[in-house]
Amino acid sequence: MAMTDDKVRGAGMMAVTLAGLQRPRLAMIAQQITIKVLQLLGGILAWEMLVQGLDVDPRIVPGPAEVMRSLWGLTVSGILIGAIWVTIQQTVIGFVVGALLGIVLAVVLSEVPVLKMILQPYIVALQAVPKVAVAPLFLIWFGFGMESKIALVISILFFPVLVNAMAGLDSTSEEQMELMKAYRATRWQTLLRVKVYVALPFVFAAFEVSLVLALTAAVVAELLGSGTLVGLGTLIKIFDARMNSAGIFAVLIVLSVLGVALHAIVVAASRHFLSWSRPL
Amino acid sequence: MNMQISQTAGNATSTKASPIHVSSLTKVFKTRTGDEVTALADTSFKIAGGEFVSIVGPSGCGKSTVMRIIAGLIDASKGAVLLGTDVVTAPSPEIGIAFQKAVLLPWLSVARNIALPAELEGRMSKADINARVEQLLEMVRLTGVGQRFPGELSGGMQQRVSIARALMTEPSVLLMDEPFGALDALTREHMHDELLAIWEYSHPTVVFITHDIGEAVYLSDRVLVMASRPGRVVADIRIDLPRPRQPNLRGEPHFARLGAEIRALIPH
Repeated sequence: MAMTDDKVRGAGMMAVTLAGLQRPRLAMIAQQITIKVLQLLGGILAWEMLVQGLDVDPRIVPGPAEVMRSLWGLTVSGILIGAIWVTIQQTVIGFVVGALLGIVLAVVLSEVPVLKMILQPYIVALQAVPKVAVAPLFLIWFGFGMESKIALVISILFFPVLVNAMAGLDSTSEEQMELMKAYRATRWQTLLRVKVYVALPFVFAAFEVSLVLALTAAVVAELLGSGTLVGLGTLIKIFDARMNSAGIFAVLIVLSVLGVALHAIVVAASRHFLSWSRPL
Repeated sequence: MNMQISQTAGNATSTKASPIHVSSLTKVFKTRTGDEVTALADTSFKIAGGEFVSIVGPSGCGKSTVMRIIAGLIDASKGAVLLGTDVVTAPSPEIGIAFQKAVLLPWLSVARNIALPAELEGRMSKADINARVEQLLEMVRLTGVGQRFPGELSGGMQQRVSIARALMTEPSVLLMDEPFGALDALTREHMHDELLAIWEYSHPTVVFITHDIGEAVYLSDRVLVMASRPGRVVADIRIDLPRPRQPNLRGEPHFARLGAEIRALIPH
C-alpha cells in the first residue's frame, strides 16, 4: 500500500524523528543507571566474597550483610537520624560561621593594609597549628555540648577561607581598578561591584576543599569528647567501646554519603553563582 | 535625554562639549631601579569643543600618558590640563572613557555593564537608565543582546559595549585609547563609521589615541603626531577631508597624501 498523502507522510516522518531522538537519550540514561547499580552490586559482592574467602573475623571486618543489618537497626530505632541531625548542625553552623568570619576578616584586611601587615605573622602562626590539637582546649572552654564541636569546625574552616578570600580580593586586574576610578566609584562601590565578584571563585574553591574538612572536624570533635548529644562521631565511639565493627562501618557509610551530598550542594551553589565565569 | 538615533550629520559646532587645554605637561616616571624616565616633556595643545582629534605616534611616545592625565587617572609632574575652565585633578563626570581592552565586568549582563557609570553615579532613575541603555544598544547595533553576558560576545561586540558604556552618562568629552586595536581590519573599518555616526550625532570632544595612521586620518579633524624620548607633540595636521566621511575616501589620493605626510613625521 503506497502512501499518497504528503501530509500524512510528513507527520509520520516527524513522529519517527522525535521517537528516534528520544530513544537513544532514554537508552543512555538507562544504561548509565544500570552501570551504576552493577558497580554498587559488584563492590558489595566482592566485599562479601573477600570476607568469606579469607575467613576474616566479623568483629574485625564485618561482611556487607551484617553492616546492612546494623544500618537498618540504627535507622528504624531513630538513633541514626538523630545522630545525623546533630553532626549536620555542627558542620553547617560551623561552616557558615567560619566562612563568614573568614570572608569578613579578609575584606577588612584587604581594605586596611596596615592591619594586614600587623596581623599577618599571627595568621601564619595560627594557620600552622594543627587545629585538631586545639580540640581539647575547646572542650575546656566550651564544654561537651555542640559549642566545642562548632568551634573546631570554625577553626578548621576559617583559615582556608580567609587566605583564599584575601588572594581573591587582591586579584582584581589593574584595568578593572582603573575603570572604577575613571567612573569615580567609591571604595565601597569598588568592593561590592568588583572585588567581591573577583574573589568569589577563590572563595568557592576554598568551600569545596574545606566542606569535607568541616565534617571531619565535627566527627573528630565528637570522638574526643561529647556529652549527652549523640552525633555520628559519638556513635562510632560507642560502637568502638563495644567492639561493634559492623556499627562503625554503618556510620562510615552514612558519613561518606553525607560528605558526597554536602560537596554536591557546594558544587551546585558554585555553578549557580559563578555561571558567568564558566567558559562557554 | 531627548536623544534620537540619526545617521545624518549633526551640527558641526558643539556648544556644550568642553574644550581641552593641555599646557606644558610633563610627566616623569620612576622605574623600579630608581631611574627617572621622562614620558612626557613640556607638551601643550588645545582641542576645541566638539572637535575630533587623534594622537598618533610610536609606542612609548607618551600618548597614553597624555590621555590618562586628561582623564584624571594620573597626575602630571608639571603643567596642567584644563577641561572647559576647570583644572583636571581627578576623573571628571564630564568624561567618558574607552580603553584599549573592553574591560567589561563578566558577572554583569551587557545591559548592566553599559549602565555601570550611571549606577555608580546614582543620579539617574532606574527607568531612565533602562531607556538610555536600550538607546545605546541600538546606537552600537547590539539591540537584543542586553541580557547576554560579555563572555558570550565576540571581541568586536565587546568593544562596542565598552563604547556604549563610555557614552552612558552623555559625556561631553570622549577619551579613547586604541579602542579598536584588537579588532580585525574589517570590523575596525565598520567601527569607524559607527563611531563617526555617534560623534556626528551628539558631538562630544573626542581624543582618540591610535598607532594606525589611516584610522587617524579617516576619523579626525586634526591629527597630533607625537615622538618619543622624551614624549612630545611634533606636528599638528589638519585633516581637511569632507564630512560625513565615506568608506571610499580611503582610496582617494588626498587621503593617501595626508597619510604619507603623517607617516613621514613619525620618527623610526
